Amino acid sequence: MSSVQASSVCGSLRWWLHLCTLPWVAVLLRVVLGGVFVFAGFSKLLLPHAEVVAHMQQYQVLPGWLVSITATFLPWIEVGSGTALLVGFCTTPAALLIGGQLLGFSALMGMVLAAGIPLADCGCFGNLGLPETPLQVLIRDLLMLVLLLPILYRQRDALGLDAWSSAPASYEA
Amino acid sequence: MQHFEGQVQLVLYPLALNPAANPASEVAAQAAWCAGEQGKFWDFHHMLYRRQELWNRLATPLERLSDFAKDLNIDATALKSCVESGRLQERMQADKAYGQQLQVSSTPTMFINDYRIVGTQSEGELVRLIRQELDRVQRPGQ
Amino acid sequence: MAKKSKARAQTLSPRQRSPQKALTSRRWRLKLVIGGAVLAVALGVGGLVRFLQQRDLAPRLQGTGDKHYTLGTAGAAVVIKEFSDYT
Repeated sequence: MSSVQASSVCGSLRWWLHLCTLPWVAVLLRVVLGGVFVFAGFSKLLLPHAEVVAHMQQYQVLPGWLVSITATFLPWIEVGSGTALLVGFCTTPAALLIGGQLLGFSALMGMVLAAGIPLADCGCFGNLGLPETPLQVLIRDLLMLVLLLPILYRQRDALGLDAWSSAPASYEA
Repeated sequence: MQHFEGQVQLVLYPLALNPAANPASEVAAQAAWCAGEQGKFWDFHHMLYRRQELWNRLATPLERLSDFAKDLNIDATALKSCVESGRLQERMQADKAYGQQLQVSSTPTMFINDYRIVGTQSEGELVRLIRQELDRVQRPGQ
Repeated sequence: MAKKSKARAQTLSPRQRSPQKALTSRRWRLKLVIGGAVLAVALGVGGLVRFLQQRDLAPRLQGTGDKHYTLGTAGAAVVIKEFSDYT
């Protein structure tokens, strides 16, 4: 990497780290990420359970028992964690749960790509979203993982239930 | 079906879920209905699956299907004019609408009574599910 | 800054400190109630959607044959409706 490229990357990183400290950025990202997960969860709940199972079976890398469990519980976990993040309730656990899901989805898409499984649509948003290939899902999920950082950093100060219930700052200097 | 003589009925709804993306499926389904008018629905149905690789990638598979129909002693000319007239489109649209009511969004989708199964299943798994449902409905006292 | 606040905290009487603590504690409980309620509503809506979907399925599946090709016995205990595509 040339020195110009290196300084450009460092500049971008510094800019991103600065953004991570801004409360409005954390709020915006919380709403966006929480909203995405609520939407994903509801889009699966709108589908018959067997359809969700079929979407997961097409990945071909998960064992049958795991497909069944995931198809049953994942939509609820998405709705619950997304809602919690959206309203800033138990923000850190919700963000960590969402981060765990994103890591899991990324790993799954990585396995699908490595195995060369042809997949026209991941089924991530049921029948409500645009069809996404495994590569598109992988990139999207990794990007969302990065966007979680400001939320984890600023969760106490960003507008939400957690912030409202925190001790007032006037008591301490 | 042979496992469960007298206990099970299969009702078939040939669908073309996404004709814009896959026009061959709509032609094939119409041709099957048209073959049924000549009393050869099931023969034509099985043939479509057996020779799937020979016609399903064609944009206009009707000629190929008409040729196959001759092997089944189906009047190919009548079959072709039946498909080209489009008079069975309404029936296909009705089936598609029914499928949408039941939230069928991928094929194959099967309902064993109320129990939905999506995707291809092994014969063993199907037999198990049918047996499970038979046991449930035939439980003494029900 | 931290030393100053510690010193100030230590000079406050327990009576001055406890309303603050009570307020925080009340807000924290309220937060749990509100947050829990919001979660319950979201999950409840999801449950309702699933329930309504399943409830509507059985009546829509009534009626067999009706101008479609069938195999097996009419009026059988188990009816399999197959929606399939030839491609």
